[in-house]
Amino acid sequence: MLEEIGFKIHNDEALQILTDAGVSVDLEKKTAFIPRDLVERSLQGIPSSFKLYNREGVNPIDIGGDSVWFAPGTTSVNLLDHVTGEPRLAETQDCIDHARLVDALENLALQCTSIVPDDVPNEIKDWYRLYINIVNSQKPHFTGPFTKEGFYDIKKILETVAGGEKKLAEKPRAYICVETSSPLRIGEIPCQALIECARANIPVEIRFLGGLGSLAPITLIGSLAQQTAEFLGTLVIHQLANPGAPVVWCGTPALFDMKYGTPILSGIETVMMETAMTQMGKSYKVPTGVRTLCSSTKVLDAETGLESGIGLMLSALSGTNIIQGPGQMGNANLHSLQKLVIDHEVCGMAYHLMDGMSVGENAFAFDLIKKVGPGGTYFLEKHTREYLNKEIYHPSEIIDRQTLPQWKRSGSKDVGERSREYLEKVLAEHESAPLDADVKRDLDMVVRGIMKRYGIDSLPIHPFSN
Amino acid sequence: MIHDSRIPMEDVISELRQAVKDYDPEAAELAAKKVIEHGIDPVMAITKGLTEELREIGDKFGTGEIWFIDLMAAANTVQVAVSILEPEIKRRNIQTVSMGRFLIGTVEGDIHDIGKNIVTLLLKANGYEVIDIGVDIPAEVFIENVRKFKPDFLGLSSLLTSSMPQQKKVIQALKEHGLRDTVKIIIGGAAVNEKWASEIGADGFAEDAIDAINVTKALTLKEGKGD
Repeated sequence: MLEEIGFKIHNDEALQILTDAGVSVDLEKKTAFIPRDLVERSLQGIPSSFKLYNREGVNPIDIGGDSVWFAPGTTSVNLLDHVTGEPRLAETQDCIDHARLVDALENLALQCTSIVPDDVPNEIKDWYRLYINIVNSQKPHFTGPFTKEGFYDIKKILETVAGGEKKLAEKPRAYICVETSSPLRIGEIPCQALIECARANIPVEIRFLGGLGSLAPITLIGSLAQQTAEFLGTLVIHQLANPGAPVVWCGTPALFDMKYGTPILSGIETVMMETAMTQMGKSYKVPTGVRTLCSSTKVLDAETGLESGIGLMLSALSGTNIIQGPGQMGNANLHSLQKLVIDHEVCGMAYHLMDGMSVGENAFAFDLIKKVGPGGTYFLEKHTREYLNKEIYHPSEIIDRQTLPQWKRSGSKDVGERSREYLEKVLAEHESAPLDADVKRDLDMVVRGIMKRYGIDSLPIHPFSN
Repeated sequence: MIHDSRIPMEDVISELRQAVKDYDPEAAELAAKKVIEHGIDPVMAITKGLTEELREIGDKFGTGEIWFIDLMAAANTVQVAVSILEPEIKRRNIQTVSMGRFLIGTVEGDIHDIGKNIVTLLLKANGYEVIDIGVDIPAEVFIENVRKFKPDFLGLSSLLTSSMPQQKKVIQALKEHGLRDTVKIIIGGAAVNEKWASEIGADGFAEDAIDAINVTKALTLKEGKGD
């Protein structure tokens, strides 16, 4: 596909890089015809795994192999208000709440700039979300720029936190999303971010959205083939810019609902293609990422749960390295803090599922069964207590396991109410580890500098005002 | 050319309607050629044979009886027939009342065009003359084209949050060139909302492709055009 049909690249620098590498490029059509051997060379050079560090540059997570990490979904402009239950435009305070909540939830390994605040100017929405996450959480980040300048602002912020460009390159604190524009096309801004990230050794995620029957073939295998070509075409530019730079292959293949004319991320076909993509990624020895857990619903209901649960379990079982989606609904245009804490329970269950069951003589428990004998009970056995936390996953109160009388006595609450109470408690009690005072001072100075450049005097909430 | 009585006009009209109903552009092409061949009034063929049928299909989409992909297919079928009949209308020098001229493009910094293309197809099928100037269009190119084509409507598409400010830039540039009041501006795209539309001074905001048609029609009626 890349050799014969070509890959359209809306970025002059990338076209130059490819030309310099001997690739045949039609400059007028901005299309490169990338040969097989160059793709194969690019694939050979990429690291099969890489480390992503926390804010302080310690406790890295290893992305690659069969490791599985969960990250919140991205990117929504709307938020399902947990107080009113109504969807509305997201604001700065929501970003702060989200960052603190993600910081507190142990099954989420990464922060994500999941929601776009409506109450700040468009020009700064990208890095401002990242800044809020950094101030409120130690976890590593997944993010992406909205504009060309935005990339440099994000890079500057990450460098300031890491203590310079070199330190950031040694210990990346974030990875950046780069999305193709199907079919067989990449836009100027993502392509620029791709090249700059490669040079700075900041990991990138090459993401495909597609759309079955709209921007990709309706057949799953055809769509997967196109996705693979788009990934490989993008990868070649990335590896030419800096051989060996870290990369994640991410699929968020949407189906296009032909009844309503809407892109859907919650269909079983999305999960099928993501699973297949993960297998392709593993055969290429490339770290993989997907976005499951994103329901198409606008309220918290049974469909929200079933779409999220099915997606997450299958992705976890396929061993995808980074699974995004917790909190996301409304076909990626709506985020919910309640859904985030519910999905977090499912992440816990998925980890438990991946751990499997205990085996061995003690677990098999022949002697114990003999001791208890026919008609006995196991409640008071030491063995039960010994395995209680190891063998059984204990969800929070979000998951209802009461009897009917118990449930009525405790207020007849549904999952919406239980999740709201849970998240309100976390927000009231959780204390994020503070950012080092010197780093904070430097970071605030950088942020003030960027604000000044855009002519912005004030923002709705100044987390950096004192 | 006079009407050939051996081919009843009704037959050709119903052939056109059937082609739209079957989402069959090849059949529509054949029927449209018959219209010309037998000297049937092309304007009447469009209104009776195509537009009426499409309106019925549109209503069925509204009630959920047919799917989005069917509506697209019907609109495409209509478009194929119209493109054959239009030169005949010009040749016969018939004065037609267009619903209006619609200039559409995706703003600078954004190369997404699926939404824009769907809107273009549906607008054409609904009797609008559409000039699609493509993707990644800078404000000055929008200005040039507004000046050149004098459209009644301007559609600014932006999928990305990053390119939304470009919609504002185009409107500002139109103001600076004294062209703002010559055209009704409708904005659309996944990240766009009503608040943004009023903030930047657009005339209309469309949540999706179908909404874009409804908003345009509402603005058309306001202008005293159309039916």
